[in-house]
Amino acid sequence: MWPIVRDAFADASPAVRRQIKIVVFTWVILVAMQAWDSRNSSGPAGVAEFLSAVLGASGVALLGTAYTLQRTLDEPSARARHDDPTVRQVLIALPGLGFAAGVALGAAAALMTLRLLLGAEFVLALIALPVYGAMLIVAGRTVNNSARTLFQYAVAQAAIAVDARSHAAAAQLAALQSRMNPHFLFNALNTVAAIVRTNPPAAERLVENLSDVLRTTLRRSSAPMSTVGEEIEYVRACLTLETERFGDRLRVGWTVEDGLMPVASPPLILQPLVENALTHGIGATADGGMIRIAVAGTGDRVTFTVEDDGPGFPGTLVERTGLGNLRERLATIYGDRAALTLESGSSGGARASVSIPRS
Amino acid sequence: MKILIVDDEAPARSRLASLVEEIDAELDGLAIEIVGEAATGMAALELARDRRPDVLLLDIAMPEVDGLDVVRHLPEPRPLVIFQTAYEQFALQAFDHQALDYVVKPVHKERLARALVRARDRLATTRPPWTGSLGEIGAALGHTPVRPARVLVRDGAGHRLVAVRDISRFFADQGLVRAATAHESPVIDYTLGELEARLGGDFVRVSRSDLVHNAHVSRVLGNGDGSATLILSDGTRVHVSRRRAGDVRRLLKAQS
Repeated sequence: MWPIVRDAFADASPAVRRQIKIVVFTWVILVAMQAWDSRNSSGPAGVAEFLSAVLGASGVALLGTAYTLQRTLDEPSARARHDDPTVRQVLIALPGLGFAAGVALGAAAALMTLRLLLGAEFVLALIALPVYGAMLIVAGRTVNNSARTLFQYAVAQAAIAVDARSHAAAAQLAALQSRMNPHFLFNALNTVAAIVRTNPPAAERLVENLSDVLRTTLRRSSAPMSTVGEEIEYVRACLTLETERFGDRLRVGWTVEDGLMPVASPPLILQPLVENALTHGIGATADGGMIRIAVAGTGDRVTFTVEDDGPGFPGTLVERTGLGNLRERLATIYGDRAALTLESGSSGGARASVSIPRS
Repeated sequence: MKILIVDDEAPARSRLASLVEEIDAELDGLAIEIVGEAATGMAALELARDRRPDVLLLDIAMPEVDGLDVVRHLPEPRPLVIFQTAYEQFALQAFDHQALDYVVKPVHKERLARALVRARDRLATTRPPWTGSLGEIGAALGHTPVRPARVLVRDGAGHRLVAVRDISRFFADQGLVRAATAHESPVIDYTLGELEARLGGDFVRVSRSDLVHNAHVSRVLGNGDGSATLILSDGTRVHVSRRRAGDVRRLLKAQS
């Protein structure tokens, strides 16, 4: 907890820091006054005095901590870090912390009142009680504010969850549309019609393949998570159909690092990259071209890269629907821990890659 | 009736050829002769010039030079065109009165036979002129043009392909549009607006008469009156209109 408090204090605005300093300063004065006052007390008055001092001190310590954290967590820069697991824990602990401070301070104030009745020095009580009262008010406000922050955080989290679900639904729809788009479907059927007489076994394979792709699309597009192996298998099936159609014009090279197959990956993240290369890379030149697909693991990340040798991206990058949807999906699942990069490839074509954490 | 079959997919071409032959055998009076098969739009244009087909069976979605590009560059007298498309966005009644027709893939023999009979009847009468733009026809046929790596320019009586990356700018010149490369400026049969839409992102419209390739711009000079001058990598100076100067600067700055 201490490093967070220290960071929080460092992050706090000057006004907040001044308030915290005042609180700590008052606390030190108060403890010093009580120590001075206790010179000649004994019996019940002495016990009450001791407890009052201890409770007051710990109450102020708790309050200082809670107040510091609450004020800094409320600042916009900290709001952005609400997803950080430690920040989240603090956020949840804060109302409790403020409440504990309030209880301690309340007890200290009660004991101080008791001492007044037992005949302690009137002046000390007169100073201490209003200070405790003020601190109780601060404690109350801290509890109130941090509870509100926590509530807002919970509401935001709920909204994010709803958002994630709607993104997943959009992704499913986009995948279905791209796989079942009329062009894809009718072109595949056209190829079947074209070869059914001349090459019946090939036509048979093609129909099986088309069924597989459609079935997998339906099944996978509703699954929350998949594996790298499944991604690769799916793209291979799609490409079998396309090579039948494109013939020699489409060449595909695979480089898949060993041992990545069981790694978890969101479904349908490689397919949009390949789809993009097919449409805008291979589709742009009559000579056709080569698509290189690489799946590599570096450190704690897995990277899918698809490169074509077509005309490349236009100078100003226009993100097409398929890739835009993929980017949103990655952001929903991984925040900023996943990346979709579009750049010019080594052969002047386009290179699109997705890098996801391996967890 | 001489027919040219154009499709970038070999299986589709051979199926069309056998369908056409069957139709010819089954129906009297069509007298069909398949004069060629082309796998690309460019090959289609060459065969159209050499073999003078009466009818083109033309796939609309082909790489680089697509079906619409082929239609635009067909030699006179233009053959009739029957497009093939994977699916139509909406049915085109307009086709009923035009020198254009279409069939959907996979092509039904009956539908193709009907289109061929209609083509024969139209060949017997005078050919009506085309109405409506090719862009509208493409949209109706569910076709989305892809940004090509090369574009067609005029070359004597025919055409050839020039790599887009070698073109520094397109400019209007006495009612014609020309594509400027390092050595030449051949005429191109598209308007600047069409080129701007098709090659989006790589080219910037700097005035009514100039569309400049971003990658070929080496400097931008202000003229003091709100307009600007671009210096291209080959030293050419291009005027940027006052209205476009702000946009052009922002765009080029964003890229550098």
